Amino acid sequence: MSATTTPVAAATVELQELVKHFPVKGRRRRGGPAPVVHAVDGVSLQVGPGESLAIVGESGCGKSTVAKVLVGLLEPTSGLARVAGHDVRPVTVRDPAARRRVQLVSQSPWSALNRAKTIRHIVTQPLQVHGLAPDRAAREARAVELLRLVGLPAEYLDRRPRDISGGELQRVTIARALAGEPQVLVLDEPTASLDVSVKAILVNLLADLRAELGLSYVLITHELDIARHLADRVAVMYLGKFVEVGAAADVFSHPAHPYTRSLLAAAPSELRIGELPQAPLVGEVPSAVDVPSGCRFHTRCPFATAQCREQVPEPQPAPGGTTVSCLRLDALAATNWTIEEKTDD
Amino acid sequence: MAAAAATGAPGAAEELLRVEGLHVTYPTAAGPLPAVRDVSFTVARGEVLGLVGESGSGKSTVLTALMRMLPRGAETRADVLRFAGQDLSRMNERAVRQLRGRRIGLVPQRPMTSLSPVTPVRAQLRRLTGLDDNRIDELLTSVGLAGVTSRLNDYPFQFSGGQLQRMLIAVAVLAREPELVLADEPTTTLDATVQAQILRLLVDLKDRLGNSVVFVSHDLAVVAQICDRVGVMYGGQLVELAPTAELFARPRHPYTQALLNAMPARHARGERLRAIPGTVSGSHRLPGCGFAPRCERADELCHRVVPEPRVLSLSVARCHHMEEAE
Repeated sequence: MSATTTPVAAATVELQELVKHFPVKGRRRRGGPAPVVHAVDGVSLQVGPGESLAIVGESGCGKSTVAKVLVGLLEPTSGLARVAGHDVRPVTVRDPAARRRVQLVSQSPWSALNRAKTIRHIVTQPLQVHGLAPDRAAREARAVELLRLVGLPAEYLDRRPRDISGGELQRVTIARALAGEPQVLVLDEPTASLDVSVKAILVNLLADLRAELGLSYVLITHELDIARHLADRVAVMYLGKFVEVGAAADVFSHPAHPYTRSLLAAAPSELRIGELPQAPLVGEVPSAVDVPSGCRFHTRCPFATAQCREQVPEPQPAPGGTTVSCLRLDALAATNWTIEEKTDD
Repeated sequence: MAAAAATGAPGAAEELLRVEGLHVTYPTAAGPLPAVRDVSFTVARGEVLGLVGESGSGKSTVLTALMRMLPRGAETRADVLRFAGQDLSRMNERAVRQLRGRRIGLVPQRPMTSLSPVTPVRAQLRRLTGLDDNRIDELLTSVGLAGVTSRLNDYPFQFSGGQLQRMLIAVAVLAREPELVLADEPTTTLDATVQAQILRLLVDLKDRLGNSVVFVSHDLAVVAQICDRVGVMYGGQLVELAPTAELFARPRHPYTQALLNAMPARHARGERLRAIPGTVSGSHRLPGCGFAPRCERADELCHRVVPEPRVLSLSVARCHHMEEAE
């Protein structure tokens, strides 16, 4: 399914029919095809320069696999992944230029950083590897500048990860990611492990950095609020496929796909005191090994018909402005489902 | 229940748990660390009390202290720790064991790490509940797990997080029907759609069995959905306690206000979020209010004197300036 709004030539990140399957060990059935986990099953998207795209979905939907393909940690089974006009090359291939184009900020800063090293070492290492500063003094100056970018004072250079809090540590991982002057940041659940007050700081920081440095973001998150604040466009992913793609405002205020609607309804909101979602989605995400036939959401969809079990839905424009893969779009359009976008204070 | 919840201190419904002046101190390399400081609250029968706070605020330590399961070396002190008329703090270990699981149930945060990875689920359920297989199947069916009763000889890793959490809720809530259920971030590791199912299950069971719940969470939005009253913890202290609607409509403590204002949902798209400046660390060493260094309203009094809990309308809060808020 395509998320096309920007012309091809301008795209900083481009995925075409990306497929990533993982073999399953020990489950081969005689005569049948070798079983695989359908982590990503035909995903296309484009992110323009300075644009921010969020991929939202539940655990196991394949969103982190997309992130790993984009930075070269996984090789796609088929399809195309390009960053700044170049094919993504696996990290096992020595290609410093490719490494500099795209950088990853991962979920847990505690495991992303070397605990034995100082923040100075962590932030200056990319400068050294890529030869971005001629000497020690230049590296030091650049490290201070990088810390300033993420809002940390220079004295943090001598500290080690254990001396600073989780929110500050996450800022160090962002500083390190920025050291190589990438065009794209892939943010894999950047705020998931942080407290509310720290989360707010990080969301503000990420918004500022994008404005200041003109970065493109691919934001992977299960926190819809974070996506609402940081993304221009949102892709909703379910079992390896995008079910709905559109401008963030449209996806959050006029969701069309039944899964998007369920996801939005299930997200707790402090605006609904004493109320649980009326009809929560039944069951859980089915196995990605034996994916349901037809529309992959039909096993949990309240609107599913016999046709949904057989026919794979193609992406099509929905009245709310988003692009949706659902066979029952016309029937659903009749059910009014507008969410009030909070605009005051 | 709703009527009782409307008052800050539930008088109408029967009191199940009373905690007054609870202190817990952990020994650390850097000296004793007060994790919980002078915390007082009550829980009525059938009530859901939420405890919210950020990591390190002491919310889980309160629960662990109620279960009397703090690590060795931790020092617990309380003026009153009364559960169903019994003094929890004076009970010996054997008497506490009679309570755990039977009259006080615990729903843990991570179902996966709360079960043994090398023992089939059925054997663990048998051991945890002391019930026979038929009864276990019945229990699981009533929490919506009829589908997995045929594969209970599987190991925990073969079930999803949502399924395991349902099993543990069946064990904690249904097997012995305890009067008090302590839930420590029971949905934090689950997806939103599964979280909604688990919350509904906890509420449905409570409505059916009439048990009370103390629900610990870092997520204000979750707490808003299921709790009758909410306590907000900061730096080991309960800084505010109020009926849920009151807390969200008229937060009295500056920290509660800041926390609510930091929530992304309270901001229009693209608007800057209002973060709370500074950090909580070191707040226990301050002579005055622990939040004072981060508080816009703090004055000389706040830096000098620890505010005592005071009542304002339906809320109880620890703030010298709570009347000035809004």
